[in-house]
Amino acid sequence: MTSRVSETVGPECDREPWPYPVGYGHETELSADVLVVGGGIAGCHAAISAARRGAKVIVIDKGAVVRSGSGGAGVDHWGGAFTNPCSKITPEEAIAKSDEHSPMSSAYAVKHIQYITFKESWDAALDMEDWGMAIRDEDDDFVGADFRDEETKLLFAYDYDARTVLRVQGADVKVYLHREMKRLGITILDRVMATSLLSEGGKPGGRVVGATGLNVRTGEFYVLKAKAIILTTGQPLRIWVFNTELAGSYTAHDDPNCAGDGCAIAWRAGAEFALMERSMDSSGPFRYPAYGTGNPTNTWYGCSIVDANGKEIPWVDSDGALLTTIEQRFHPKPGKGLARLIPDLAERIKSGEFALPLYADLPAMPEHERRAIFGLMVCHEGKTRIPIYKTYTEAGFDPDQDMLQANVLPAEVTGRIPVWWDVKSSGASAVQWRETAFGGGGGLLVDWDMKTNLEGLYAAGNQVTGYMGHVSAAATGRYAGRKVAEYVRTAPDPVADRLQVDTEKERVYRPVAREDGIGWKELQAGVSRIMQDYCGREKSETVLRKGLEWLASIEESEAARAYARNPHELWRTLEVMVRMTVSEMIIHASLARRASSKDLDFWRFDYPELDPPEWKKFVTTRLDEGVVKVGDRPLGFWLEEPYAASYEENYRLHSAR
Amino acid sequence: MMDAYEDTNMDAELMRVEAYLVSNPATPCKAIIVEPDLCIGCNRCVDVCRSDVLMPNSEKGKPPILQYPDECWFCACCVEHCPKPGALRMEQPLNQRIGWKRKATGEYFRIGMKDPPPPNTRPPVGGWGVRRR
Repeated sequence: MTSRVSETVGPECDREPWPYPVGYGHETELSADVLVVGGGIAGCHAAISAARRGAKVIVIDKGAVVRSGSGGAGVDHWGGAFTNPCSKITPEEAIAKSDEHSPMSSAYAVKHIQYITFKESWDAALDMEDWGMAIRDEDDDFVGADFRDEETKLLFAYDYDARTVLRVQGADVKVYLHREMKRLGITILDRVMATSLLSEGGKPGGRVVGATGLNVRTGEFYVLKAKAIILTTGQPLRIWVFNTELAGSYTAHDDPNCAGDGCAIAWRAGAEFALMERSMDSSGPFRYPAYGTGNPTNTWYGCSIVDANGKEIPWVDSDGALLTTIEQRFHPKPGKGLARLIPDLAERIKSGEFALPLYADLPAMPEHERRAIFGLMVCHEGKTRIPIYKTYTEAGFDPDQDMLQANVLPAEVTGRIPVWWDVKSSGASAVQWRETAFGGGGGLLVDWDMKTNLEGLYAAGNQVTGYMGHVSAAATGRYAGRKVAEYVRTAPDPVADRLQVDTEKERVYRPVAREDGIGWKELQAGVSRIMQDYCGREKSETVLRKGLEWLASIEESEAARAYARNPHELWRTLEVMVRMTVSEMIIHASLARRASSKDLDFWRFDYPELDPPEWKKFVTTRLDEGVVKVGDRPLGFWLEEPYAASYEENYRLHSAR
Repeated sequence: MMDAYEDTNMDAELMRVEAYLVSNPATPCKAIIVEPDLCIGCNRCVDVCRSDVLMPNSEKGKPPILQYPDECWFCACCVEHCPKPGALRMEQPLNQRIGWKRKATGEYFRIGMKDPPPPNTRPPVGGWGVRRR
């Protein structure tokens, strides 16, 4: 093959020696009290929390913990801070009406997770402050601002009266977490992917006693034994649409390495899941950089929007009444939802009243608001300091005099909130294109101890079904860390089953023995095609079954011929295998819910009736000796037997504070 | 190579251009751009990249190799951790670039345009780089 090619094309080399020492099959065995799988926000908080209580902790992560995970590139909003000294709402009041206004909520929100988040969000913020993150306006940049509390110097977002969402300077949040983990002597294994969970006696369904791992740079193998395991690998992503061809992995909102590793390994170990059938429209690779286009929501909440001729789009309150000042956008009536642009914007664009493209009119905003949007939020929110603030200002963008363009969308979706802040959908979505639900998606079902149905296996953050986000990851992580530290004091020493280890090792290295066959990208495209066609927006028994047939067929044919020419390709190939398992889980969960649901964005054309009462429940799935077992759990199971009847009482009994 | 056209015989210049048997360019092509004159080859960018987009150079102290630009998440953590200002920068893929309008004049600018307006040098809230306390 060729040697080095011109510097203007990339990749710059071909068939050069692998830059890391390769150690396929070389095995390292380690043991600890607690193994945390996934060093993102939830994993770091869990590890620190357990270590502070005396547990010996190992954390593994496919990337480098100093920056890895969906929160690794920053955080600006610190939501759910209902116990901060300025909050006008208590966690109990918030949980009582959380169905009404939170975008994360629906009838299917898993509210004990939500309550734990509300109870500990502020505590987690104080932890972060201890470890180095600015959660206050220490430099007095915003003295006199409507959203600043002069005594505590806390800055608030959205509703300036309720004061429950903090504006924090979290661009380097992972750097602080990493520093604290090192200070506590936590063992951090960067670049190690968990490939399986080890069960007592090698029997899935039994107590979980550890995990196997693969170093994605060297190909070395790890056997990691622990009395308790906390899974924190986030939610599965890029299942239906996996495309690096248009914009690399830019358009993945969360960490693009979130393949669903924790879901796949827990499924094979017999853990119980809920809501895996929940998905949403996705425009996949057709997005713009998040927070990088003009819009009036999320990080840009409250920003004035004008049309191509400079005419301002009016705002209304949650009752539809027109607002006359900018200030009103931040002062909703008590208990009411946030203000928004006029709901009939689409019709008024089509009638010619407003001309596209629209622009975010930052110069029209009061100085503190403008600086908070572009300078504080755009700077500290994930992927905004360098990708947006630095890139745009170096190119000459000046919020004091410039209006950032909104991406041009069909009139029907212009102004739709999820579209505008562009989490997963730019509005251009084919019916086959889905993504796991953003907020309240599928995952592991856990109890008030953050424990799964398997002894020794816990979960936190987006790994858990029913709630999501940076703050929930932080809060549930620190809670799970406490519970696990308590559990390992009396838990038995873990013993790995050699046959289970050897069987897994053989599976993991199969692709490196092949020189040809199919590469991981084509294999992933084929698997995604199955999900697009057989598990798209509209589903039916026969089509879903056909999807399972295709997956099984690919598994024994093309996937059995997948090759990996270095540890990186082995990593990616194993992730495709993970996505194949997750795809199976999603199809099984979709088969199990024999009803359509508006709340779940779930459409069965063989069961068209929307949300029939008997299906208002969680449908659960787990693998038992190779057979999928379907179960159910009532909505609100967290306040039913064997739990106490109130949030406060359960928290008091379980939180180990 | 193109710069040479103006002061030399174009045909002769073209005859010297070599061709290679190479894979198609990845999309996006670059993602991360290293300035070889500024880079000190410390590999901190390699160490923090979540996706191993960058690989260490086999020659110690030399700039990293951009191996998997198609896997870049564009988080720019590598840029954050680079100790040499300007040695590493993130480049928005062409299909990710947006424009803006200057309110007073109506001029339209965009990321990547020829003859851009002068940079806005105001730092963000909290400044650049990791906060120390």
